[in-house]
Amino acid sequence: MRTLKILLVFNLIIGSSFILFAQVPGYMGKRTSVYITSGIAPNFLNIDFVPPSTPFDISYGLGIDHVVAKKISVGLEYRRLNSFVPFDFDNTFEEVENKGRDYYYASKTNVLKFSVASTTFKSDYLAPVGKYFSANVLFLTYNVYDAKNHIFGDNYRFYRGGTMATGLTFGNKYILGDRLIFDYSISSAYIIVDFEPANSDGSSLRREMFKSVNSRLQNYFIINGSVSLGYLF
Amino acid sequence: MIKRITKHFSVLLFLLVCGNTLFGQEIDFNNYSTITSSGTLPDEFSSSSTKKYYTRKDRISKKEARKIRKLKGEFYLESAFAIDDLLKSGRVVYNDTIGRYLNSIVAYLYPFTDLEKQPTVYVIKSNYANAFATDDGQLLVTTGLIARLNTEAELAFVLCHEMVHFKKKHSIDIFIQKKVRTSKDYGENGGYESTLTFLSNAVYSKEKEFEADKLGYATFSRTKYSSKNVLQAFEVLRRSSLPFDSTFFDISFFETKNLVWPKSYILSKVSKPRFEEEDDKNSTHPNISKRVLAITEIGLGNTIGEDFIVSEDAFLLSKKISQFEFCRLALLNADFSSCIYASYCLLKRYPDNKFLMTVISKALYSLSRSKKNRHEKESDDKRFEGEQQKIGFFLNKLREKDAAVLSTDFCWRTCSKYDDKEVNTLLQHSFYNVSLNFYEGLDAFYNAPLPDSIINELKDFTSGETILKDTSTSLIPKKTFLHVDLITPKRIPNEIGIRKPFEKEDVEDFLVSSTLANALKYAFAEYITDTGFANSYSRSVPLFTSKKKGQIVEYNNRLDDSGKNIVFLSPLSLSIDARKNKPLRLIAGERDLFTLTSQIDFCASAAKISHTILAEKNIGQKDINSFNTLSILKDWIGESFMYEHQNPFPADYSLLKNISDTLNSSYVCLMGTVSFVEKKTEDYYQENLVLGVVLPLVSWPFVLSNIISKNQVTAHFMILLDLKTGGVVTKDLRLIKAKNRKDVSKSTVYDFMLKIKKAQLENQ
Repeated sequence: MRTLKILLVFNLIIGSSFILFAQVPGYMGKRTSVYITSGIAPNFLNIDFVPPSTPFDISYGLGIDHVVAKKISVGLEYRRLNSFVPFDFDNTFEEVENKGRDYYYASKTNVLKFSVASTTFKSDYLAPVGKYFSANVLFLTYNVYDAKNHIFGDNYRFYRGGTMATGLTFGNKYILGDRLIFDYSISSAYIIVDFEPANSDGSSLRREMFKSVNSRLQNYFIINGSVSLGYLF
Repeated sequence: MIKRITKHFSVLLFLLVCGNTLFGQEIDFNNYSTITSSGTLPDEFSSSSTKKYYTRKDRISKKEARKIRKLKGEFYLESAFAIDDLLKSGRVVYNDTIGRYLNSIVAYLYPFTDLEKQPTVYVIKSNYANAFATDDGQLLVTTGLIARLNTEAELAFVLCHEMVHFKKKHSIDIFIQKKVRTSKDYGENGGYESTLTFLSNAVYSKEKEFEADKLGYATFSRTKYSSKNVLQAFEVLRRSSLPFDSTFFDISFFETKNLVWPKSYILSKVSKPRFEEEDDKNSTHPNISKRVLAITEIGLGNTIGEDFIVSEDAFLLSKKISQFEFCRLALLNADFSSCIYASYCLLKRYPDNKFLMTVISKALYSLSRSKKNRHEKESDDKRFEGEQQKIGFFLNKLREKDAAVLSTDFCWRTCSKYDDKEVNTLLQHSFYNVSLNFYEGLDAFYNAPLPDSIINELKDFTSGETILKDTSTSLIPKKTFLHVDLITPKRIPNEIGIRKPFEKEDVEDFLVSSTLANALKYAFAEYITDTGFANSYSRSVPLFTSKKKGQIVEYNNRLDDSGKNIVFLSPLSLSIDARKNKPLRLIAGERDLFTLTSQIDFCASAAKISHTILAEKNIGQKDINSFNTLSILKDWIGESFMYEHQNPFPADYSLLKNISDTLNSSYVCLMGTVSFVEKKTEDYYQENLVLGVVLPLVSWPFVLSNIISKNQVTAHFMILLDLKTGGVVTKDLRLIKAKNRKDVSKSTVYDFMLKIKKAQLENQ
């Protein structure tokens, strides 16, 4: 078994090296890009848009992308988003039941996105230029704070947890002046795994939060658009 | 008056001082190579069409009506690009022997005209008899016309005629009148531009032609040229569909003691020339007879004048060059009948001319390549008139084997007469075709004279009826019948074992084929033992024989050492928007062209490919050599495409070899971009609307974007050709469903470069 593991790791290293240093054109021989990105998603759940909640959630992040074949590139992206969430606790949070919808929480979410992008099949674009679609795997961790009433103090973290999602992105990349890379994209993801709450003690409040945060994130990932600006080298 | 005297004086001085030095050049017609430009390249050849358009557009007076201003703008746009296309096609030459002579005739005529500016004459290498004037003062005369004219005075009349077109700005008038008429019809007929409208445009042309004849003749009659030449010039135009000569063609030209062709290959009677039945109803030009009548109505003036004023020698030299050029151009255009007939006629006048013999050898060789690749034109003889029909008929009758043997025989005849490297190489290549048809190579041929019985048999095949009387289908030996390669495929029975009933033609064809197949084996009898012939054959074998298996293979198109440097030819760029009335987006196309040229240079350097770029944009006014090289390479590219890259012995073989040595490369790359916007049909919208109804709400944005967005496709292509074999080394085509973007184009060009680089590395 140990030998098998060693062989697997060895193959993985060799395979990765071949992919990373393969003779592919990229853009004029440039294959790697680092970029900053910003995204926007409609806030479908918060239909009354009561402040501090907003009609749109904004995200921002940075990433790296590397061309591994003529039409394929792989990327890794870290994204952070703050979403203001109105919770309607009904009867589950008895202590603050009378407050109802007046409670708002901020979900600070970190997204680690691994993507494999391919330039579209129907056209002969060469990565990293032109229209593309990418298949993504997203690892999300989130922290939930009381963002309005500060009942338990300013920095009291109600809840933290993690989840995993898969998604698709459609975008278009432009090269500006042979070095800058501009990208606009639209993406959608579906949360497939709900991680066990990190500090779940079985209370109804935490269960409810767990459900609500997941649904909030799903709301965010239904559809979101991003623009990125990167440097190609 | 003083101005006119000064004009005359300067012309006379010019003719006296420069005449001999300009026209008295020695040209080696035995080693004739195409006419080329010299001196400093005129601005017209190097400046951009867009720039020319804007310059000319600025000249439009603002006092004119808005509609006329707009139409003039359109005209300047279209004409600037159309003329530039011609000037940069590689077929127009400047300051060559003929051009200098033509310009001196114009210099002589100029004082008799009331033109403000002396027009410049350029020569177009074309076998059509034509001349025309641009609105910018350029007169273009084809070599095909000069080859057919008989005197300088005829040429002078043609130039006078064209100068009137320039003076009266006929081209722009016709354009505007056509547009105005078309727009009127558009309103009346609901957008249907009928044939009548087209024909009415032709009437405008005819009016202008009559005007040009009349005023041109008025100018001409003021000169010292004899007026009788005007009628002769019209006669030349009338006969312009005929070859420049009408020498009787004898088939024995293609025969030897041991190579005899059956009578059925020979056309005994040629049909009547078509020009005698001409009708100008559907022509843009009036009937020649009507034009002659119009001139004679004015009355011929000075009929005792001169036929030659500037220089008779220069005219004869220009005519001779044009006729030699005719042979070359016909070969370039794979017009074998014209090429062979023109060379045949010239050989009667210049019997020991190596160039003409070589041209015929090349034509026969290319014909046999065409027969192999089935490129030959059907019913070739029907297109020609006069004695040339005989050649068309004969070449049509020839089959692959016949053509291979004939070309080798003729090459050897040329080779034995002129010990020349080019002809020797051609002979070696001819053996390739022989080897393809006779698998034993030279061993298939007999070392004995062609028996009289076979000759008689071949000469007896005159009609199918005679054959049928003496023979029947049962006489055809089954074994021989299986030798089906000599029978055209349509006459082969559909299935093995089932025979279709034979027709007279089938029997005749078969008997001719089988007798001829036998006869062909005696074709080389006279010289098969000749050491030169045998040596040439043995040298040719490695050209196309696989080293390992000894099989015959196609030419090797891999990059060799001469592929270290790549020549990139002027790229192609087209931008088409099918939604517009004028689909060709000329300015955008030229802009893309300039971008692409820079990208090719940049990407080749980035990919570390040693390269030379030959593009109009990069050619300086003093770099006339590059301009000539580009012209010749453009001709070769056209020829290469015509033969589908299967002709290793192009018309300009020696010239190309010199170019290859000069540029230190045997590989020419052509890149290009075509950007196309498709017109959406009603069906397209209907389909999308149906989809919108059928599909769920979520898909509506996609359907909507489909309806709104343009259907655009951009194609990037690259082809790397081998100058030595004419074959394709590597090629690529990329289709992108979007508009042409600089970054995508650059990325694609760079990838093409990597492909070329890979081909280079593979060979190391």
